[in-house]
Amino acid sequence: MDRPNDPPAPLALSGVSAGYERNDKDRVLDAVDLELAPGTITGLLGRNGSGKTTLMRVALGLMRARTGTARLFGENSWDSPAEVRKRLGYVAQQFASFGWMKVDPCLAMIGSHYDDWDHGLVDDLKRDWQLENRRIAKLSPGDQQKVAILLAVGHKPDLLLLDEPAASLDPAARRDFLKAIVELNADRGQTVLLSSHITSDIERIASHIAILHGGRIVCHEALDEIKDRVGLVTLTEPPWPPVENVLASQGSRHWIWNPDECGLATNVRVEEVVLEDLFVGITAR
Amino acid sequence: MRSAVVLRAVLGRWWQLVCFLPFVIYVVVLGGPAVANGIAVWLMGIAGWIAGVFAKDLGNWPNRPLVPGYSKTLFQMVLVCLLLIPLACGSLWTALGNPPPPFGPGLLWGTIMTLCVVRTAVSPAVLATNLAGIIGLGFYLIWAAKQAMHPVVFESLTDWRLQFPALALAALALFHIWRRLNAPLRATTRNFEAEGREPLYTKLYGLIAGLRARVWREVVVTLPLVALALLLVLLVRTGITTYHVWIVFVLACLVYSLARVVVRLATIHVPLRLLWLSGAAETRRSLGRECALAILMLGFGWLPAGLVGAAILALGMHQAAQFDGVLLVAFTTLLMIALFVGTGRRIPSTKGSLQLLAVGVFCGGLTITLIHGIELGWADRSAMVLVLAGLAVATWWAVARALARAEIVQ
Repeated sequence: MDRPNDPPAPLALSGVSAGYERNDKDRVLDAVDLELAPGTITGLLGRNGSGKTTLMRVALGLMRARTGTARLFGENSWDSPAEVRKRLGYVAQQFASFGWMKVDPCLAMIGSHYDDWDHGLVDDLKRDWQLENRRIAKLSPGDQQKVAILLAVGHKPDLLLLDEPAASLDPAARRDFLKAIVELNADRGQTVLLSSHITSDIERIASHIAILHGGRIVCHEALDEIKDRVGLVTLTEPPWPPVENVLASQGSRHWIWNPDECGLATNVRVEEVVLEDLFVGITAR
Repeated sequence: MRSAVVLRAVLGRWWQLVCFLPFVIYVVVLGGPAVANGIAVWLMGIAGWIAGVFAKDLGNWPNRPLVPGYSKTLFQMVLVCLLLIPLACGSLWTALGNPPPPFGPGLLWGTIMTLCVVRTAVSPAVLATNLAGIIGLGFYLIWAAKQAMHPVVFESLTDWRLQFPALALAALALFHIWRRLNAPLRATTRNFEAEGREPLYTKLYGLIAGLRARVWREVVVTLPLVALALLLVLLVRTGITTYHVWIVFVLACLVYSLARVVVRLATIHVPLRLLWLSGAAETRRSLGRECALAILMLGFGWLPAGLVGAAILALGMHQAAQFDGVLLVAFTTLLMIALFVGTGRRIPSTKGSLQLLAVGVFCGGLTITLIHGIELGWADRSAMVLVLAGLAVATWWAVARALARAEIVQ
């Protein structure tokens, strides 16, 4: 429960439903609830087509929710004022714009929209990523994605939404990018929602994970909490753990909250949770 | 660096020059003494047009502050285009025993238009293209239809009593251009940081103008104009009356403009989203409104060019044809205003509204003045109105779809 003086959550989705078809039954998102606490890095996981991009677009106010509300810093995202939007950064899956411009002028042009554009940060990242000042259309997809990331982080946004930003980056660039995100988070308490299929990246930097499946957020927890309290148990016969303790199941494998407290047989082996396995388990339902 | 800029400006526009190729071929292959004056005027117009294109390209040059001597380079190009090329061509023509071309009026027209181009090349830079188009198409139309024009028009243009004052005025205009380019507040130090404080519509012009489609697509949308040019050459040679040619041309300008609008609409959504997220506009409606206006102003850049050129041409036509032409111009102007108001709900920029008002007043005045005869039947006229209305609806729909696709206005 928020106290009256608490700052509003950077992003809060409540009962959000959205879709692309006119048929209201064909929903990509179905009553999604998600609230990001300030300063957290949340990894958004979901299978292909699960609605991660749609969720981000609704969150940003680029798409209207059919039902429910999406709020950015307490303001309705669809009608958010310019001051709120200036606090956002967004990297789309594919960067397909400004192809006629060179990298530096493009950065300068977008930077001109912001009062606090961080030239030092952008220059550092550009140098680390060995990004040449060429026409954007002539850059490789990976380099184009780097430009998109620079455009999104240059104004040091308070809320950064990254839609599979590192998919086309090489390992070195990906590492630099993740480092930059962590540093921004540490320096400014930036809130980040990062969608990715690379679970190792999320494990490396995320404080929380949210798993989107069947149009809903089926798991939104602190990553440390999951690592500390969830165990992978292989059970072929009773005693079964209480239903409320089961986070996910796949065949005989069960991811269970506090397995030590579930009254399972003492000789049952509890394994450490691997995020990728957990994701597969949850989304296999 | 400077030569690189110039080279880019020239090479980057080769496809636009294609529009004029049929006329060059026509003049070279079929021309004779009768087209001497037309050639000179046409050359003046083309020169001014090229200068305008240079100015526009330089105005849009991303790292312009890095270009040394921007103003000087621009002025040199203006001088070369306005003076040296047509003077050389005209002198050669006169030396071959032909009557002197109308240097004075041509140069005056070119300098005035270039002055407009220079004024607008800085903010918003892209309007220069529109004005440059006015020069090129206006003179092209004069040339294309000169055989049907009243001889007194060309005689007066070449009269020394008009030539000398016009030359003097052109020199004054050139001096003014030079002063403007070298004024201390000129844009040599302008950069994107400064643009950040400019109004939204200025940014939009730059962004949308930069949405250049691939060359082949631009060539495709240019093809109708080239095809029309060939058609006009054929029509003039087969003796079909000027006003038919003229009407076809104005309609082609409409179609061509619509094609350019559609090309831009296809690529507008991503920059629009970025603009929205960067807080460039307070409300979705204001962003959509200004975007629609910018698209139309840029996409229909050739339309006012055709209209002004057509209006000039109308002065030389026989009276009975003038009414139809002016009627078409008036309807087209109304169409433009309806489009701007319909898609934008209002005309947000002072410059845009003044430009529209000027065109509207001009065309309205001509309509009142020149209504003397009727050559087209009411059925033809109704069809024309239907075509224009259809274009208006199609454009409105296309703009609305593009804005919806960008999820800016739903």
